[in-house]
Amino acid sequence: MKTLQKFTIQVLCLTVLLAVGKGAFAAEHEELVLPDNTNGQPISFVSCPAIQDTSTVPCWFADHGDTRYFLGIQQDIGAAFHPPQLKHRVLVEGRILDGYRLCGAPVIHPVTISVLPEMDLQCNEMVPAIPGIEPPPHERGAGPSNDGLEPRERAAPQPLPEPPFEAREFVLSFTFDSAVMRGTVTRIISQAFQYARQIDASAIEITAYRASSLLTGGQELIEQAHIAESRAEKLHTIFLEAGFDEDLFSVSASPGYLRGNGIADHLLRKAVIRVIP
Amino acid sequence: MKPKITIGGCLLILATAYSLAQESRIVLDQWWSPGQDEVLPREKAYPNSQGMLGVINDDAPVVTDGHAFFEAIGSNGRACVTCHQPADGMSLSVATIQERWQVTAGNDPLFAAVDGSNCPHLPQDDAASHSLLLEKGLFRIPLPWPGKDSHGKLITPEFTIEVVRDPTGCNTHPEYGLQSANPTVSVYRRPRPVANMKYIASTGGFFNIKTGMPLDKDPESGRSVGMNIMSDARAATLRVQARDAARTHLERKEELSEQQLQQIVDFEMQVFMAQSFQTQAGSLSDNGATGGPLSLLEGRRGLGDDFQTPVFGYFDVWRDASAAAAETPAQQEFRESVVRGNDIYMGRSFWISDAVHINSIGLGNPIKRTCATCHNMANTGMDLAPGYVDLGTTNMPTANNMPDLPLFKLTCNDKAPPHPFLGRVIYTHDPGRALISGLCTDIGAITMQQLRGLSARAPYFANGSADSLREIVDFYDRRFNIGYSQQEKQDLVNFLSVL
Repeated sequence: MKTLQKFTIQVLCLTVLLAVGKGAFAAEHEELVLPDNTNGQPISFVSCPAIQDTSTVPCWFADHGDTRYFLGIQQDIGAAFHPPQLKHRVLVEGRILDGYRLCGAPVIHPVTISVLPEMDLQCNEMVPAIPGIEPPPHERGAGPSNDGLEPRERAAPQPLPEPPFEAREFVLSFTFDSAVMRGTVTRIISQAFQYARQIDASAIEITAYRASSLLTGGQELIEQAHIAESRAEKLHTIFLEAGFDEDLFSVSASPGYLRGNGIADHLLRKAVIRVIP
Repeated sequence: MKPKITIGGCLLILATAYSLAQESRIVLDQWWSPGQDEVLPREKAYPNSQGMLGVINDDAPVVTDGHAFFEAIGSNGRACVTCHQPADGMSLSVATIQERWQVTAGNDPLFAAVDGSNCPHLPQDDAASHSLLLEKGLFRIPLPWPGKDSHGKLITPEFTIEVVRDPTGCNTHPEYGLQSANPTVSVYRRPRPVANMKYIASTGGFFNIKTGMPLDKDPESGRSVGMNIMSDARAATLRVQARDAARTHLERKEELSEQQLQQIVDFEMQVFMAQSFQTQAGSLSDNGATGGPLSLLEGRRGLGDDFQTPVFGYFDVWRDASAAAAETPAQQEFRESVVRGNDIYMGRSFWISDAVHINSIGLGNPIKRTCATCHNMANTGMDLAPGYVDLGTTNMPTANNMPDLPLFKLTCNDKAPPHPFLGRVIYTHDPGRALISGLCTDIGAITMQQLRGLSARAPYFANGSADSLREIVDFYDRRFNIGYSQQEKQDLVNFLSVL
C-alpha cells in the first residue's frame, strides 16, 4: 500500500511538473502523449540498449556517440513501443525530440526499435534505480493491470463498403531482418481479411519487400536476402489459414532491396496486401 | 438442481483417513484400476501430504463400468485413468507410482514397456529399467523426427539434432532411436492433470499473440484453439489428444469410436479438482474463503493479472483475522502466510529475463513483472495465450541437473532466426515445442501447467525436476535472481499448497 501511495505521489508530481512545462500532458496513470515531431532531426544507429530501474516500470535507452537517448518505457504487449531486449543490439530509427527529457535523457520520438536477431552478450547493461529518475505517466505499473472488469474499448465498426468497390492496399511494416507479425501488423491483416470478405475479393496480391537502413554515420544496413520471401510466405500462410481460397493469390517477394535514406527507413521494410474486387 | 456439495461435511471422516494414510504411505484404496467398475461419486476428497484434494464431477456421479476413460480399451491393460488418477489431481504422483511398483512387483500395466520404462528394449522386470518413472514420474514420449504440423504436413526443421548423452539408450537405439528406420526422439515428461478443462481447453481468436501466426485449429470444427492442452501443444483438442493417447500410451490398434471419444471428452470437461483442505489452514472454503473445487464450477474464464479479478482471489477473507474465524493461532498464522503468498504471486515484481515467448514477444528483455504476468489465467494459473515458454527447465545452462535424462545438441541453420537468448547451438533435455514446430525459437518451450491440486501430484515441471513446491520456488528464485526471503519462499509454498 505504501508503495502505491509513493507511486501515486511521484506520478502526480511528475504530471504536474510536465504539465507546467509543456501544458499538454495526460492525467495521472494515462499515457504520456508526445507531439508528432515530424520535423525533428532524423537519427538512426545500432547499439546495445540499456535498461534502468525506477520505482515503477523501467526506462529503456540506447547510446549514440556520447549521448544516451530515451527510447520508451516498459508497457503492455498491445502498446506501440516494443522495448529492446538485452543480449541483442538494436537498430534505433527515429527523430530527436527537442526540448524533452524523459527518465533523465533526451528523447527519440517517434522511434522504431528493431531487435537484431543474433545475440550479443555484451548488451547487458542494467542500471539500478536512481532517486529522481522516474518514467513518464503510464497506465500499467510492474504489477497487475487495472483493467479488471472494465470493458475494453472497442474500435467503432467500420462502415460496410458499398459498390462500386475499389482495390484497396494494406501496408504492413516490419522490424529489421524480421518477418514476425506483431500486434500492430496483425491488426492491419485483420482489416484486410474483413475487406476481402466484405467485397468478396476476386484476387489478393501480396508483395513483400526488404530494405536497407541508412545509419546516421553513413553506414548502410541491408536486410538479409531471404527476408522478403519469408514475409511473403508467412502472409500467404496466414490468409490461407483464415480460409481464403488458394486461387485468389498472387504472392511475390520483390527482388533486390529498397534503399533507405536515413529518414523513415522503417517504412520500406514492408509488405503490401492488395485486395481487388 | 444439482445436489448440494458436501465435501465440507466429510472433512472429519477424511481427516481420520488422512491420519491413517500418513501412518502408512501405501493408500491402496485411492488407486483407481482400469475396469474397477465402481461409481466415481459426484464429489470425493482424497488425502495427500498436505491435507485433502477435492474432486467434483459436475454432471453427475460417473458410472465407470464400460466408460472409455476408465476401461482398459487398449492392448496393454491401461486405461486413461491409469495415469490420470482422481486422488492425484487427475495426474499421477511419483509416490503413487512407487506404491504401484511395490504392490504389483512391477507388473501393473502402468509400467508397460512402451513408455512406462526408460526404453522398450531394456529388461522390463528390472526396476532400473523404469527408473525415470519410479524416481521422477516421467513417461517416455517418442516423437517422430521430423514431425508433422497440425495439418499433418511434414515440417522442415530449422535445426539439426544430435544425441550428446543417452542414459536410457533409447535415442541411439537402432530400433527406437534417432537413426532408426523411423527416426524418433524420445523425451520424458510428466502426465498433465486432466481436470478443470473448462478453463484450459478453450478456443482462441485467430492470431497467436506470441508468434504472430495463426493459432492451431480444431481439425473437425475449424475453430482456432488455445494451444494449452499438452506440454508441446501438439494436440489441438481433447479429441485429438484422446486419439493420440489411445494409440500410444494404451497401444490401441484401432481408432476410438465416436462414442468412446465423446465419453472421454465429456468426462474431462466436467471434472474439477483442487485442494479442499489443508492440515494447518483447515477447510479452504469455510468462512467466506472460496478455495477447493466448488468455486471452479462456475468460475470466470479469462485474464486474472489485474487487481479487480485476480487469478486466485479465494483467500482474501483471511486478511481479516476477525472474519476468518481461525480456531487456533497456528491456523491463523498459516492462513496469513497463504494471503502473503497470494500477494507475492500477484504483486511482488522481479526481473523476468531470457524467457522465450515472454521476453521475446514485444514486452522487452527483461521485464519487471510478477508471477501473475505469465501465470495469468483465472482459476488455473496457466497462460491465457498459448503457454509454451522457455522457462529454462529443459535447456542448458538453467535446467536443473538431471543426469538420467538424455541430452541433445540442436544446431540452428544460418537462415533461421536463432533462439533469442541461447543462440544457434542449444543443449537441452527436451526441445519441447520445437519438436512439433521445427522452429529454433521454440527450443525448450514447454506449455506451463495449471497450479491446481499441486499437493496431490509431485514432482513438478514437465520433466519432474522439482521434487517439492519449495524446489519450484527455489528454481524461480535462482533462475530470475529474485532474492526471495525465507519467509517469502515459505509463504509462496504455503499458497501453492492450498491451490
